[in-house]
Amino acid sequence: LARTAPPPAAGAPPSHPARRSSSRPRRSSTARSRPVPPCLPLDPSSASSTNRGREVPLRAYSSEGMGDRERRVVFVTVGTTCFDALVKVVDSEELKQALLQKGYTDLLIQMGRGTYKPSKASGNSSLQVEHFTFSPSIADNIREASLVISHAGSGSIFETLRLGKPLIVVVNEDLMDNHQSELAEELAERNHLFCAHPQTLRENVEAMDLNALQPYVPGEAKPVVALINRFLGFPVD
Amino acid sequence: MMNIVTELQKDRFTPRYYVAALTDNMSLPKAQVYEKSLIHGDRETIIENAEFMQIYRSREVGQSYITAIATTLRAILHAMWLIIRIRPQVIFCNGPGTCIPLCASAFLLKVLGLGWSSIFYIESIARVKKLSLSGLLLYKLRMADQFFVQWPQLQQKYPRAQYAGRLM
Repeated sequence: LARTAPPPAAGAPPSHPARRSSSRPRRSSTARSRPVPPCLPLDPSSASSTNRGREVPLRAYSSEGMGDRERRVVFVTVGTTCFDALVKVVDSEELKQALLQKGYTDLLIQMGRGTYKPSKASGNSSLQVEHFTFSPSIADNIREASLVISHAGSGSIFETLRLGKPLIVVVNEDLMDNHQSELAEELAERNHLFCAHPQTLRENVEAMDLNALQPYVPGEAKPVVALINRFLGFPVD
Repeated sequence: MMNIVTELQKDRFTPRYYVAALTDNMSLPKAQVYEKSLIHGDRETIIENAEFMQIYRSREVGQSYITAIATTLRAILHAMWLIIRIRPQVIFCNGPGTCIPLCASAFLLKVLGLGWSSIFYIESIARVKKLSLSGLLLYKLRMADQFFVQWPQLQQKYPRAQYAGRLM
C-alpha cells in the first residue's frame, strides 16, 4: 500500500472557507446510503438558457450573502500530486463560462502540490472560486459538490464514485508510465464517469450529459478472502 | 490492502505484521488506526497482535539506476532479516516494489526447506490491462501461491491469475 507521494504539508491548515450555507440544496443526502444514480437531471431552466443560465437573487451579492442562494459546487481535486495543467485549465475563463452555462455556481479547487495559484473570484455574474492545497479528508468537499473534476488517482476516483457524484477524470499527460489512465478509460467505457485531458476538458464539460452516467456498485473483499481461506484449508463461512 | 484485512477473520490471522516502505508515512497510520479500533474498551491503547515495520525501498522514485543496485541489495538484506525474524506463515502483498524482496526471501526459504509462507498477491485496482512490474515478476516466476487481479481482462491475459471481483 506504499505510495510514493509525500504527505501534505505538516500543520498547514487548509485555506478553504467555512461555507455553512443553511439552505444548501440537500441533493447529497441520499448519497450517504447507497450510491445514487449520479444522473439527477440538471434543473432545465438553468441549463438550457444561452445567456446567464440561472437566476441569481440580489441578496447573493452581499458579503455574507451565501444566504438563500442555491449553490452548485464544482470540486476540483488533484490529490497529493502536482497537476498545474489541470488547475490552469480550470482557472481559464472559457472553462468557467462553460461551467456557468451548465448551471454551476461555485468552483472549489484543491491544488495539492501545484505551484500555479488560481485567482479567487466572487461577484455577481461569475463563478465563485475558492482554492486550498490539502485537507485531511476531501469526503465532505465531495459530498457538497454537484460535480467533481479529479486527477486519475484511484483513491479519488473510487471515493467519488462511492459517494455517487458525477465525475470527470482528467488524465495528466506529463506523468511517465501513465497506467492510471487505464482505470479512468475503463470506467469511462462503462459509463461510470467521463474521461478527459486538460486540453479537452472544456469540450467535455459542454458536451457532458449527466443522465448517461451509470451508478457504480462498489466491490468488496469477501470473494477474495473466501478464496484465500479455502486455499489455506480454513472452513469457508 | 486494508479492504482485505478488515474482511479477514482476525483470530485466524494473528499476530499481524504490517510492513511499509521507510519513506511511506501514510500507509502504516491507516493500519494503526484500524488495529486500534479492534481493541474493545481498553483505556490504554496497547495494540496487541499487531506490529508495524518499515523496510528499505529498493529504489526511490527518480533515483538513478546505478545507485539503485546498492539500495536494492540493502533492501534484499533487510527483507531477508525481517522474514527470518517474523517467519510468517502467510504473506499478503498488493503491488509496491517493497514486496518483491520480501516475497523473494520467503520464497527462497521455501525452496531451501527452511520455512513455509503462503504468498497471496493482489494486484492494484488501477491495473486494468497490464500488470505492474511487481505483479509481472511474481506471476512469471510463479512465486505467489494465489495471484488476484481485479479486472476480467487481466485474468484472460494471465490465465493463472484469479479474478474475484474488485475490492473497491
